[in-house]
Amino acid sequence: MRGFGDLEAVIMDRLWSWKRPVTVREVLEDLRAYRDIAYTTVMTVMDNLHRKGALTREKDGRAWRYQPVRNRDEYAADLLSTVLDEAGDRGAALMRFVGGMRPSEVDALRRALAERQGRRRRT
Amino acid sequence: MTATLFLLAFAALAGFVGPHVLARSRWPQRSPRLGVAAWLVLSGSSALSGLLAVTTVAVPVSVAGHGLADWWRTCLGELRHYYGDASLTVAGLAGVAAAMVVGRLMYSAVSHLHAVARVRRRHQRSLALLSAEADGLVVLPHPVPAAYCVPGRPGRIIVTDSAMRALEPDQLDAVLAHERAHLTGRHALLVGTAAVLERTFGTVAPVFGHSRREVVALVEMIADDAAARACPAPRVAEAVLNLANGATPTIALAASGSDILRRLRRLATPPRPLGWIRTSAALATLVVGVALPLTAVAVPVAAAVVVATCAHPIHH
Repeated sequence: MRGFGDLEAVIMDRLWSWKRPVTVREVLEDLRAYRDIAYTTVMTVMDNLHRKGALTREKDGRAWRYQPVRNRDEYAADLLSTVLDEAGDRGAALMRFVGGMRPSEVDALRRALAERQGRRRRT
Repeated sequence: MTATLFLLAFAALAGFVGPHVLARSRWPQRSPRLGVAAWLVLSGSSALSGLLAVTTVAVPVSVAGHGLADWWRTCLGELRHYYGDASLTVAGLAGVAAAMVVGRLMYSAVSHLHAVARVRRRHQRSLALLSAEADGLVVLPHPVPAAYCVPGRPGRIIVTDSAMRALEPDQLDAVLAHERAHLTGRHALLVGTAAVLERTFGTVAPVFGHSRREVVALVEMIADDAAARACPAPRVAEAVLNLANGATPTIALAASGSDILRRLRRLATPPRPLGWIRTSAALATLVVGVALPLTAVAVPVAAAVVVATCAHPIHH
């Protein structure tokens, strides 16, 4: 357990799997099954997530009900779009194993490679 | 004067002729580490000697030498005495030019570091919501098979779930070894250095653009060598092809496709690394490449210092 960073991921994970708006109390009770944690801690973290734009909330009686703005897949897709769209990253802020190419281009490379190996075997 | 001309000639040689010779040689692919060093030394020493050439116009070495021996007397009066009023203007302009070049270089470096840090920080923050792991491997759900790393401390390696499905276990190990090599070898810093030089001097001489492109290609080869220690090299080539087959084409084949083909060829038939004789010869050349422009300035300055300290001014 290293600070709030971990807790953010744990709480997001819960909210993503529940798929319905939940209160801080509900999250707390779920987390209490695994670790000793204070109400105010969970509230602070969820409030932070709301401020960062990761969660929306609506009033339900006296409590707020929170839920993720985007589902896990959408969130991941958004994150990866910065990686997959390589234009402008010439200074290697992120380093990708290999760039994406059209299947026809990959086939061309595969053929070029096989041809070369074939030639080597013959000689 | 001699120093200025020598430095200009060296800058031109490293800036225009050097890149063509180095781009045509095959040895950097055999020892990509040495290749990266060669490109950075070539572009760095071209920039350095150009800068020193301008500086020697502003502050002639005999004056600088005198100044080092007796620096408080190197004032405007001394310079005026040396130049006469007309050429003092030339020297002043050269001084301003040199300062502007240094300023521009520093600005490029700082803005590069800022931009890179911002991208990484934002990426790390978003990743933190997806994974409680502060380091190690993160698997993200995404239909495009991809693997990448976020350099920094701690560095992170991210693989999509579709990439996990596209690779055999030993190939996944190889991909991870490749990314780990980027992180531990601080490859982003090497690429960044080349990119900053290109951004600053790219329009002046072809060496800077060449250098950035080649450093990018060579660090991939260094990482591929690490990958090839995790599984046979031809299977690494297979892994490259599997992960290149993404649903979103993001690059033109002409630009990076040839780089990928070079990587694939090298993996299909790995070249023997350079022997120790050639490695030492290359290293010696690199040392000379850095030392030459510095010596061109240092020797006359040192001579002038000796003259200035032993016998008092003989130059007027």
